[in-house]
Amino acid sequence: MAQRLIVEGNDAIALSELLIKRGIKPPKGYSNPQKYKSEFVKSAGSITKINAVLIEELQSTEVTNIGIIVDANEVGVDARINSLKTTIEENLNISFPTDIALTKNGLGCQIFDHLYIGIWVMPDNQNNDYLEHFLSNIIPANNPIWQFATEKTEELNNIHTSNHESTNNGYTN
Amino acid sequence: MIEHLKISNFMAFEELDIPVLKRVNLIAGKNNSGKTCLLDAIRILEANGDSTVVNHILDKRNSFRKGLKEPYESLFNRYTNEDELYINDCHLISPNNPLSSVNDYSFFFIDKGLEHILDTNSVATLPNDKAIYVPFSSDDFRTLGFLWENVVLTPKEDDVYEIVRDTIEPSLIRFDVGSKIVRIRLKNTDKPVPLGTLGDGVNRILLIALSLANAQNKVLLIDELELGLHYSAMEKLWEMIFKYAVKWDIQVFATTHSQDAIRTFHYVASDEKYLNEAEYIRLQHSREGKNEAIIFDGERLKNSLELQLEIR
Repeated sequence: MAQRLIVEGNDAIALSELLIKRGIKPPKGYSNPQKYKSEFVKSAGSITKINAVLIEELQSTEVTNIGIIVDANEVGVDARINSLKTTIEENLNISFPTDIALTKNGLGCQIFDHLYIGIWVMPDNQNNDYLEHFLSNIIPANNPIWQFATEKTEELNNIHTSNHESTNNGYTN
Repeated sequence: MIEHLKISNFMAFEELDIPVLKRVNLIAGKNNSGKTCLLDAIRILEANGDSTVVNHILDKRNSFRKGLKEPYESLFNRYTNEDELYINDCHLISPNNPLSSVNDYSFFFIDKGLEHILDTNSVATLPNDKAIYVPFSSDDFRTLGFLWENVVLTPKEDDVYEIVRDTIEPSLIRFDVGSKIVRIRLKNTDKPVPLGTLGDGVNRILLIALSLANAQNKVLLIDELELGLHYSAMEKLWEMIFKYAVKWDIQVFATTHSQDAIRTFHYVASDEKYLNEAEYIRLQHSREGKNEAIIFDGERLKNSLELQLEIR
């Protein structure tokens, strides 16, 4: 019996460790940190790879619980959830229960007696944003590190912009 | 070449359908998912239901007893009077079936019109296999000697040396297969060395090399390919298996539990010259409890391995 947490992007481990720090314990059977990192959490990279990972986990009858975390991005919450539902339906040869919809608390669905699927669309199952917006929402507003990080990010953005401009000038002159 | 397999009511399989098979097929799956059973089904199919092969299979599984009232009961998944057993076009007809006109158990081939009556007295140490079968326990010198006899003093002898040298023992010069012992001559040694002193890996590679050399235009079945082998030897072994499978027109079915075996299989199968020659199959019970074969072509296998997914 196995469980999986599939996360869009390359930061699945960082996100899942953050969840543990917030008091969410590793699932049963994954208290060993190495096993947790290599077997439970799956960084899927781009959204197109989410499907490839999801198909394998759906077809592996060892897997009893699948958690999926994707970004809404500009594509939107509805498009994301519909695409995941289609993959689940096609690979399990079922119709997704019509009475189960995505709420602000995510979506949870018992598919068979022995398969439970949970989906969270970042940042909050409602808006068209990213994991980063979710993270910024859980940081207290007056946190000094957050303030420092915001300033430095801004600085880096400015440096990048000015470099980009000078390079362009170099080519045009 | 066996292009597909449809098995019904045979041992571990209630129903199993593998719609496409390739030249080199690697089969994985949990314990009791039916990997060895699949090899047994192919052995019976290739042997046209020969008694010595069927009895040998049951004997190895400790489910064959002479004088039993129903000696072939364990071949069936469901043993009733109505349920048919078949492996592609090969049907086992039970004398207990009310529609049956036979007095004995018989294998019948629809297309070939061939009928083999199963005889419980046909017990042989060397069964009349048409396929070449490499079991996971490989210390049977009688088998090794039999395979060697067909190869010695032919050009294939050199190919066998090449396989053993390139995969595991570069210092091999030649070997001699006696009635009870295999002795090897190695570079820089004056005396022959017994095979047993070189470890299980060399023994295993020698058996597989001799089996390949005996399998021209036939089916080669290898149970638990990885036994005793370091992963670096496995990649070289796959190179040899693919090379000779194409050269000698052999169809290969190998089972494994090893991630290394799957990964190295993929490396070699990705070579352009083996395009469309390989398939990875996982046997499992579906979420509804039915037998199923999950088929991975090259692209799917590549994606799954890159994403480090568990696909065994």
